Amino acid sequence: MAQTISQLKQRSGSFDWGHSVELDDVRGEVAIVGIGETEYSGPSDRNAKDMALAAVAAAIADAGLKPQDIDGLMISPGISDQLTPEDFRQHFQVTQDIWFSQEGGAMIWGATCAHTAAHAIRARKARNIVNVFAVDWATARARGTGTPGDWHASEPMKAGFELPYGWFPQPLYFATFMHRHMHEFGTTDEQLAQLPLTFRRHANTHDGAVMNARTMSLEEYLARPMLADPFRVEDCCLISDGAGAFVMCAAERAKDFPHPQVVVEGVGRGCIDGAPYISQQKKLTATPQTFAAPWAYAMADCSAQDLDVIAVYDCFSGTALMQIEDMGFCEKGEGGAFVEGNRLHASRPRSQGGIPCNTHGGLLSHAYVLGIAHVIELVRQLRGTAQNQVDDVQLAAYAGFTADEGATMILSNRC
Amino acid sequence: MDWNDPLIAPFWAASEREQLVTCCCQNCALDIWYPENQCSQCGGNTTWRELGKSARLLSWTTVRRQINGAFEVPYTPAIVVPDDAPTVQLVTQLFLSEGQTPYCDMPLELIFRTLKPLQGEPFIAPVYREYRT
Repeated sequence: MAQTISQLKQRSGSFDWGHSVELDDVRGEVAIVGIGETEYSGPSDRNAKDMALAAVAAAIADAGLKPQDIDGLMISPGISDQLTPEDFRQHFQVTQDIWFSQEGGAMIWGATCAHTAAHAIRARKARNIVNVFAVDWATARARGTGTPGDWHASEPMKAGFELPYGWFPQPLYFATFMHRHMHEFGTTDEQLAQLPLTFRRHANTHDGAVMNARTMSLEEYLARPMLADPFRVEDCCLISDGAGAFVMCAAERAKDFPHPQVVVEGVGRGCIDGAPYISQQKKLTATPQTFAAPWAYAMADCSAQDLDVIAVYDCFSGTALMQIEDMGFCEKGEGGAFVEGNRLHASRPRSQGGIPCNTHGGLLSHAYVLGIAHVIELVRQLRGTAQNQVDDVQLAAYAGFTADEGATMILSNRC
Repeated sequence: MDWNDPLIAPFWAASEREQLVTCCCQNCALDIWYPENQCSQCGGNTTWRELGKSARLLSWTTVRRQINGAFEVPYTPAIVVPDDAPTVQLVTQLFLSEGQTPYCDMPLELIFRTLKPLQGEPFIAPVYREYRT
């Protein structure tokens, strides 16, 4: 039995390096009733807004709705060029009022958007909310107009104390953290390899994954040169163009939609002390998922052992490994041994001691769309329509990540 | 890099004098890293204090392939904890003697080196080598 939220509140002061955000209970209030996405690719000359509109159109159609039915829009500002309500109205030639939230999109907001949406639905601000995320970093990088590391140069303390030493961008942060994990717990290169290798195998059997046609063996992985010890390029996410979207509404209406229902059972959010400076994180071997997952489990009245499939933000192999530990699938430090034995592959369901993870290929081998495709993949798993379908999926979890924050969303298809 | 920022400039000015400093509270002596104007614990004004030479290696990475255009590769950025400021996690670089390989918790010693970024002017920075004395 999971702990209750009130028990967690009593405990939340006991952490010395971060905290849970106190989200109120929204269990069973919101359903995901439509999903849509674009093609995922490397540099494509597509722009983020056009991709977002295409993903939104696909999600609305998947839900059996029309653009005039949408009265809520959620996005993440600050990354690429995201949609506004005015863009939506212009593109779809509609005129309705649209409730707008910039607490949506992907990363942690791919999880917490369900909590925000629940409140909007409760307050009758919106009935049919579309959450969308688009990114054109592959095209931007090819043109030299932007990279995922740009924010770091704009942040004064990073610019003052980290950039001068060349400690940027993100691969260096998490390579540094992974060394500490290897030192404290004896995690090996071969164990770390299990994450990129398993996700690659999923991508190899998932049409549309960017690395679909490229296989990788353990020997090939180990023979690859280091990028930043202990990470090889294969431990780092792709840089991609693409967009995904999903439609949320009140769970009590979910049965009126075309697909089997997918209901949000729990949401959690955690933050490190000293955010946003992860160089100052007091526990380098863990992630803020430590503070997010227990909250989501409490809300959903479940534990890690009840989950059938997970999608974990795998910007780097090591961050996915640490989050799997922090979600409670094994003790801290035992992740290396835990991920061995095909444990994360779709072919080893919970009944065989597995916990299939990133069955679409993840950020490492599917596409780097910052987690929106992770959520879409879980919806397909719960509908029973995934390309790498896991047997008997009833309960799934998305683990989102921004480095200084983590978030968890539990989804179920139980009626 | 805006080293005119009053919360950043004193660190690099001290480095020019071959001193390593941390921001700390004038009132309760808490080390404040990264620097702030006010103490998060007691609200007092902050100042700077000099730190000693010995430190411990929290963790590190060696950049093997050009990824950020910062320095010629390989180079080894690290996070170290000065022995006399256990709550401060300094991002720095390692300059170990030949034959030495970094390992977490390795004892380190402060030195000052001129770093030569691929773009911009060379500058003197506090960095670390293996502990010798």
